[in-house]
Amino acid sequence: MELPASGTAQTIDDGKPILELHKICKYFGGVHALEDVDLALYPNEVLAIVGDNGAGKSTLIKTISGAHRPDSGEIYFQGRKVEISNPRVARQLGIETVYQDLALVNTLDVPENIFLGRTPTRLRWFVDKKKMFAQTREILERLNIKIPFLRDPVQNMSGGQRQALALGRAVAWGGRIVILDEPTAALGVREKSNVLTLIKQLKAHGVAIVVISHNMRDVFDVSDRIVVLRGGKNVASRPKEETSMDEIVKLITGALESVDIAHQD
Amino acid sequence: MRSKEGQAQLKDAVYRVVLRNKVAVIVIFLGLILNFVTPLFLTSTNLFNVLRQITTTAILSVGFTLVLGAREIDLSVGALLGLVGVILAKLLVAGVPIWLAIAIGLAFGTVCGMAGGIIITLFEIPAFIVTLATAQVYRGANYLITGMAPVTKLSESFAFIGQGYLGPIPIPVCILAVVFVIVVVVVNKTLFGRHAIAVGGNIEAARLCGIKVMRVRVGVYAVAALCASIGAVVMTARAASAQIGAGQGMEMDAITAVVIGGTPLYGGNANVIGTLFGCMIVGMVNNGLNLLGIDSNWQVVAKGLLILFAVLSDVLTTRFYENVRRRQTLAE
Ligand SMILES: Nc1ncnc2c1ncn2[C@@H]1O[C@H](COP(=O)(O)OP(=O)(O)OP(=O)(O)O)[C@@H](O)[C@H]1O
Ligand SMILES: [Mg+2]
Repeated sequence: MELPASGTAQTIDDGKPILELHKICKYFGGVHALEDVDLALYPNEVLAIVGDNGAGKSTLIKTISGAHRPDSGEIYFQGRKVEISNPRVARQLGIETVYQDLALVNTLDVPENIFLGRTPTRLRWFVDKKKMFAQTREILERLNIKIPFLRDPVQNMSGGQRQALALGRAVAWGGRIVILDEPTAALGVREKSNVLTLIKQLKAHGVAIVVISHNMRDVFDVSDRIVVLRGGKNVASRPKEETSMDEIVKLITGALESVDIAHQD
Repeated sequence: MRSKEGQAQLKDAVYRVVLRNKVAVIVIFLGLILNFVTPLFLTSTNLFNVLRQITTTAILSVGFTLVLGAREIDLSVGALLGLVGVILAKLLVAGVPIWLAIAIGLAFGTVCGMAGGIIITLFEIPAFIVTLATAQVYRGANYLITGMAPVTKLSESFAFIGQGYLGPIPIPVCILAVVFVIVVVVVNKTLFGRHAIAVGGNIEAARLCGIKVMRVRVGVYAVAALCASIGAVVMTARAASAQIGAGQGMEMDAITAVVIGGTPLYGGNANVIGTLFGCMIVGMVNNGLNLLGIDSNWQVVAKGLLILFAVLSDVLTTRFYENVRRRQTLAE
């Protein structure tokens, strides 16, 4: 797998977070999906977010990707306060996301999905199909994604291919932050290791990565730091070296209350 | 075991060919039946008759294809067509130049469509209920403007648009051809058209990928309303008058034609060519029943059944593809 040569983020690593969330709250009716969540993400870092089903992981990343607007709280991008009011703003900041449900349009073909929302045009109004196909081939080749029929609607593709496609769509543009919501859920052993390698390569290129996963082995394989959400609250943040699977699992289930608040950022 | 699999695959392949071209299959099948039951059907006069009868419906349906493709619905297009027709006729009677009257009619219709679209998207109200309401408004406005009396005796030069010929081809057919080509290009080649189909396929994905979903949806209603208004011009010119009942129920013909034509009821695809075939089916059924001298009330029943058939065939097609896909994933 090769990463995009052009456009990859040139983030100055001055030890300051590239993204900071401060006291983020999000309610769905009576459900407190997120309560006063603080979070910091550093360049060159793989941050894993773990938690039980319904802990608020997807909701949290959706406030970063512009899919949800938080009900209160602030977001800082490179120290500057930003309002990520819609997904376009996030993309402009260089935040790319692979959603848990992949957000593919099943009835469209591969290039149309890859270029969804950033379709190249000719004469302003018209879709540049040729360019889309050429660039799609290039992207898929670079990322070692094998999809034989680009013209087929993506609903005909296997779960693994679809996931690879969604992943390719996010990393192809050289974003500074890549968010992956359960990126290995539908993958076989080989594809999964491909994805984990890709994450490490992105990191080597200076990209900051947020990855949500239920698989503790994957989490401990790729991440530098692990944040635990429980009931919409950030209950712990641990550098990988300073924790164990056992502790993380206990934090997730609530068997272990987080006592050392000092540990959090 | 092997041959069983082979047989299943062959069956799939046959089904797929038939389903993909189901409109053509139905048109041929229907033609054969009609030819068999009445010798009048396959005469050139009659076929031209069918063609002329479907042009207005076809102009409307072509635009409607984009609506269904975007997973929207507009039940007001028929009533809007009627209203634009009477406004146009009133303007002409008042002495407004033809080109200006047409321009006002088209602009008015388009704005109405957009207004409906804005209400639907801004307040997130189901489209069918909003357009059902606007249809009522248009119909009422129609009756108020006309005082329930048709607007007749429009000038010959205006009637030419509906009755004249360009060479051997009736002008309405030329208009249909132009509208058809433009909509085909819009749906398949333009950013707007592709965004509309993306919204129809997965509105949430479209939003998450930064498509301005609301704008696209309003645009789709505008296109449908514009096509309905063009239909109004053609229909009014052909009759050289505006009938108060014009366009009534035409949205149902459009839904039938579009869905039989292969645009799925649940959006994400738009088959504009299929819609033309779908219009032919609607036209042939009406024409056949006329030729057979069947009571017009039965024709209403037949139309209803045709819609049911169209929807059913769409559902069965979708289910078939889902089954094939499931089998493929299992095989993997
Ligand atoms: N759009 C929504 N409308 C209403 N409630 C929602 C919505 N999205 C999430 N929720 C609720 O917010 C809570 C957090 O959900 P979220 O999807 O963030 O959990 P998660 O940690 O990603 O879970 P999973 O591991 O199952 O993906 C849940 O109680 C969920 O029901
Ligand atoms: Mg989730």
